[in-house]
Amino acid sequence: MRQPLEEHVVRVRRARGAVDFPARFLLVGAMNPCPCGEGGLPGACRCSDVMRRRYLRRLSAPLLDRFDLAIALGRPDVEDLLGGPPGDSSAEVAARVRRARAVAHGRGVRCNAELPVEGIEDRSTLSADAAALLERRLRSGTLSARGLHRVRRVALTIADLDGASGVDERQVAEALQLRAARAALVSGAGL
Amino acid sequence: MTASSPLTDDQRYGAALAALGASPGTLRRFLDGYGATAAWEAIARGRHRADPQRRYRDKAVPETLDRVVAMCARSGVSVMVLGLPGYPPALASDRQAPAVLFSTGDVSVLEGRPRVAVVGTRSATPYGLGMASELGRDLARAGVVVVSGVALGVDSAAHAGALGSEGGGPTVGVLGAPLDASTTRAQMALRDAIAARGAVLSEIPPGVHSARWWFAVRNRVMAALAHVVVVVECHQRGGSLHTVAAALARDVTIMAVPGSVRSSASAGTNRLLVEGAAPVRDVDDVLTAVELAIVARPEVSPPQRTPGEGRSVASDGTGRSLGAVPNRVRRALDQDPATLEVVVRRSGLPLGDVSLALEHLAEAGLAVGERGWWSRPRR
Repeated sequence: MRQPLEEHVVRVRRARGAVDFPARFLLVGAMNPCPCGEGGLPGACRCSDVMRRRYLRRLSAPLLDRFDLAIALGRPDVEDLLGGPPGDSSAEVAARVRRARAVAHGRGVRCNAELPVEGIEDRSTLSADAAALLERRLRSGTLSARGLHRVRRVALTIADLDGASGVDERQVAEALQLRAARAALVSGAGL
Repeated sequence: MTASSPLTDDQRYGAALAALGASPGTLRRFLDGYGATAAWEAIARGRHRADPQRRYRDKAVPETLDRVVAMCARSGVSVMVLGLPGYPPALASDRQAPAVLFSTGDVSVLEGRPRVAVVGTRSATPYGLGMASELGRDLARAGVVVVSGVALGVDSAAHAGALGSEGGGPTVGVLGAPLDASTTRAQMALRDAIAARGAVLSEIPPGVHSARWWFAVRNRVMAALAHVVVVVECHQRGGSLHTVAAALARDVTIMAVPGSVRSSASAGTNRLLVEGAAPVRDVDDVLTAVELAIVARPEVSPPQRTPGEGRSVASDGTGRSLGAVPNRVRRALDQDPATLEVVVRRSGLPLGDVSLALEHLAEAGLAVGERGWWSRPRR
């Protein structure tokens, strides 16, 4: 699982030779927070701390580490299940994604996740308060050095989706929020 | 662990009697009218009136005595025998006081202070753990001895809260297992920390295999020690109800922390409230009950209330000038954690605005974010 995730190829080696199969994909996963599945909802879960930790350990940290976004989800509202207010249509979302991807192409990559570390510095200008927010998070220990680059890539994508030219404080805050649930998965790893 | 002084004969034989594996009631009858040394000799000779069938004669051999004495010495465990100096007066008058008690730490912390048992389920919710640790902390600050069972969940949170309070009072753990029983590393560290600031008690000798029923039996010790019993969270048929039953039999005030009616971890506590237990909203409610419970006891010093804390603070610290957006996000937060999605929907603001407001609110201590769930701070 790690090779395709990291290098986007599946490499098969035999005595007579090796074949590379291209394997570019977008990985989306969902899991329960605990064995009973109620772990997020206060008061509903009966799992012990030990059970919860054992359950989360079933996915390896290196695998979890490769997810760029992780959010906590609650139960859907009854109203939503019975047809709440409609969100954006798929066509609208697709157009937005195409626009953002076009911006990323301009940077020489398919998407911002592929931006090398040095590329992030050059291609995304942080506003002063956005930089200050990241600095506070780094100093308080709630953001790691590796996490910093990932947050900046995500913030850049949010700015691209917004059609903004630089990355401001709100986009950094949103990127931080979209990674907030990672602490639950990779315990002690912070962002 | 504190080093114990060499044991007296009565302490050595008392420990050995406890190691015979008799029930707490039988153990009391062994000592009754005999004293530890004479009781041991009578059982060994098959002449003790509380052992007419001589069931314990074969166990009352020198090896049993030597082993338990060695185990006590190795784990730094002190032995206390009912009726002899050193046995905690706070417990001695109880009808079902353990005849022999083992301890690490300093049991004298039980005297002269109000004592509150904070108990509850092992599978507690974040709400229950938060309430337990908050009550532990605030009771300790008020000079109250927090008594609990050193179990996972509510018990551990209550002990840890008391230990974490600055300048707080001591805390006392009552184990349903021997003092040297191995558990998780965290639990053992907690036990040591409790012994360093208070005491850990058990009526099971070190080196003995404990049985499940001991956990129910030790609950009477917590009830006997406490002036007030607070149940934080408890399932419909939870073990904390043993402590409640023991407290009822002793006319000790029983209090319960109300919980959501949809939470199974609060089913037991909510039922206690229906049946007449006093509700606990915060430490002030408990301190009031403590004051009433010790009113006729001059030997117990009343708890110290910190002015400005408690009830008045519940009207959460408004008066700070926040922008319109953070204020709207703050109003969208509740004491029950909600996901980002829910906060966005409640506030009706865009995701970016909500995210930034949450960052600022968290920095100002006005919002608590944990693993993607957001709530209002309790204080």
